[in-house]
Amino acid sequence: MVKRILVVDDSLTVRHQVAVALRAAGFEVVEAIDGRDAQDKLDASIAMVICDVNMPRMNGLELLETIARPMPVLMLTTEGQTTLIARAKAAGAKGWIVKPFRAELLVAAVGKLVGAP
Amino acid sequence: MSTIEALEKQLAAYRLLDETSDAIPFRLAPDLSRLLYVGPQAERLLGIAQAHWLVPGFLDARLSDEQRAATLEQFRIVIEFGASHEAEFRLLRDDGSWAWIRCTMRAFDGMVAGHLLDITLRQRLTADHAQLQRLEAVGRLASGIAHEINTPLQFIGHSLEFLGEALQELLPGASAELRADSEEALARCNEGIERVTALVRSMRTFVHAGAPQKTPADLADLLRSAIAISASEHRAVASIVTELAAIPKVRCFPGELGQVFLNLIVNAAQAIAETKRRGTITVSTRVDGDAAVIAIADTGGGIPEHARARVFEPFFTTKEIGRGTGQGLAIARAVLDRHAGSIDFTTELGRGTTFTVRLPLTSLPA
Repeated sequence: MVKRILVVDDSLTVRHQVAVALRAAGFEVVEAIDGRDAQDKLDASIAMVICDVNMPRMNGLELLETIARPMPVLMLTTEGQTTLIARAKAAGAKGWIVKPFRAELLVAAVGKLVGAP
Repeated sequence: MSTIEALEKQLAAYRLLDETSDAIPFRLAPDLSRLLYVGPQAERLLGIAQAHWLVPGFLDARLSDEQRAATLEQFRIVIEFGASHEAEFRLLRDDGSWAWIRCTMRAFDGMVAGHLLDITLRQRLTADHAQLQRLEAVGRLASGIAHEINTPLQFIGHSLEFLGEALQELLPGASAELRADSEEALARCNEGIERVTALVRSMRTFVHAGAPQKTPADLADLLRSAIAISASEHRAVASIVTELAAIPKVRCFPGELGQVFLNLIVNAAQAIAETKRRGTITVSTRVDGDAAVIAIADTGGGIPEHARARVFEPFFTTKEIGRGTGQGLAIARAVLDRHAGSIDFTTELGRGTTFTVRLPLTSLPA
């Protein structure tokens, strides 16, 4: 079964970029617009989460706290958010990617975390 | 031969291949702070001394401001997620110019390992090609516009002349103040028309100057045209001083010489602009024996020592790609060769640079 990835970002543009890159690589993508929306869509079919930090209603770090550990989470950050990155790592994030990102490197990182599509 | 000896021999063979290739091997420390190894060919191929590569903070110092963060982020992701990747970026050479590099890399034992390939020439050719096409298009456009402007200019001129005469008949009944103001307004119109006409004539000198054979040309005209056309480059940063001696006409390719003068004036203006101080460009001509001498002097920062020997080299530039092609002075030298002339310069740091062009006057008609 093709692996499904939950992409959480309040920016339509970023969600679109991530989704296009992942779909081109063969993954299935589910989109969520913030942490709350992500909680509703997170179920057993999801293989990993790619998650923005700053979002309305529920931000990326709050979402991270609610996700059970085995689920790989990759944070999308903007440059210079070093304390946030440290907090995300402590809360169990598997890594981070700085926006704007290179599509092929994002796909490589996802492949490293969940394997082939 | 023991197994170890055989392996060592094979290793030496691989190393020899790697260290004599155009692709320069490198390894980057896990924290990206410094290179752990770079092939010995790096100095020769990329113009960065061997010792400089291994200094901590090398990449920070040598990557350009706009590429630094994004390039380091790519290295980081390669290490963190064990990816392999290709990136292109530029590095500052020891002489202040930029080397464009294609970097293939993969994660290896917690480091980044890969190869660097110099693609500066390809990068420049692509940029130059685009630039030349742009210039050609602009040239065609300029030619068309010069032609189109000329016709309305003529009828505006004629109409103004008529209005001037008509005013003489209409004005006697008007107040002295209105008469004076009207005449002043007319004079300003005429002055404006003359300036636009001169500019259009200058543009046509350049555009139509691709004559297939040498024709007698007035150097002062060519210089004045070059000054007029490059006004947008120098007006804001420099005053122009002209000291144009009476020189007989020179048999030359006027378009090519005009281009040389234009390049020198634009370079002078850019050299002054870099100092952030308003300066002076002095354009002078004189006769020296059987040669016409044209000097274009700026009050810019001078040419740094390491660049002096290379300024006439094709593709040598210290400007950003897309801004300078590194062709201006190389072309100037080629043009002067075609005229059996010469181009040279004197420069002093902090004081400025003077380019001197010499053209033979010998084979001239009286």
